[in-house]
Amino acid sequence: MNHQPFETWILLETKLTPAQNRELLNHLRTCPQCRRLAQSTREITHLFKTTPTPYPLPGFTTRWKRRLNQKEQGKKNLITWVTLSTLTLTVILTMISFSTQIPSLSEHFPQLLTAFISLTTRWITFITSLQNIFSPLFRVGIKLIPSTWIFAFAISLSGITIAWLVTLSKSNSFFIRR
Amino acid sequence: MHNDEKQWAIQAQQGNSDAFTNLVIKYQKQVFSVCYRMLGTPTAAEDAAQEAFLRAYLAIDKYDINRSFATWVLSIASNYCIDQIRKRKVILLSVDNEKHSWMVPPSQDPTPERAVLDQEKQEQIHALLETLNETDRAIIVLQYWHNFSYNEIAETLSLSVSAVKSRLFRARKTMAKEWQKETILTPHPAHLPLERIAHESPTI
Repeated sequence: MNHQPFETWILLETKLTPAQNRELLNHLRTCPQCRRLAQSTREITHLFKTTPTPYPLPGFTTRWKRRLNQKEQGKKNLITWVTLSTLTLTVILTMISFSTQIPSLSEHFPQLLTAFISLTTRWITFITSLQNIFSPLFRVGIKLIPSTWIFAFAISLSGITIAWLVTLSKSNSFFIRR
Repeated sequence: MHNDEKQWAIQAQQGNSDAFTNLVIKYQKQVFSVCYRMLGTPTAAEDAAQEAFLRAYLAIDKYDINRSFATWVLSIASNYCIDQIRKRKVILLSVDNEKHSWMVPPSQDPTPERAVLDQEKQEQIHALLETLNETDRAIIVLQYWHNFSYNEIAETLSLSVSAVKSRLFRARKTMAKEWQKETILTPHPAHLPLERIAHESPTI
């Protein structure tokens, strides 16, 4: 039996003219296959239309905002990582290019060593000169200032140092915890 | 499109995330519904709906404000769900109690009998939808639950109108066959009268 156009009419729920509707009903009376098809289609439509639509749990928008923030944070992290990686790569490349210069540096090693020793000697000379100037003044000052004042000064200096050390240790442990 | 909605969309395009949040509040149920019908579990539906809104937010500059926001966001959601099914990340199973307890029941105070009946219906729907491929499933979901016209479905899923009709024909035939198999095994109590019901199909 030819089921067209009835199958199409049934399955696509085509708008039918009264004549077409009569034609379809006549066909359905004689064709059990199309009747079953029509009935199933109607029952499925009924099921779909009468079943309640599920809703998301309350707080959907809050969860969405959290997800958006995470995504944006992830994007920021990615940018940070890309920047850091680029910097690291630049440093590595610079070091590689610098290392190619090492042979020429090694050639000039004696001169560099001489310059280093000369600079160190000058620093030592400078500090010694300062010591020579200030040590007589210090010796005289010690004799002029009363011993209780010196004792009080030493005590307060120690206290400040201890307070500073305690603050430092606390701030270190704070950063480690973070 | 509603004026408020248009304003929110314009403000969102200017970078106002609060304006977009209003759109999320308005369309969360529709988007969740599409995802739930497509993927079959509330957990997967929640995840897909969230992702769909996220993608919509990130692509808001591409949104044409003269177009319906609902069509646009449902298009993103249904295409995302199609991809998810294709990737086989989502295992479609018949729903169980644990999964359903995750959802808010649509009725505020359902009786136990009503709840059981609703759950049975949900299972029947999932069983029917599982017989279809992902694109046909999306067409059925958009047509039955969101009353999309053939043109809107075609636009949403990037198909031609004739392809939509042909897929709809095939999908309904597949579901009818499955339904007949099921009703032969377990006769369905509510057989409807034979007269043709008033046409509810979307028109082109």
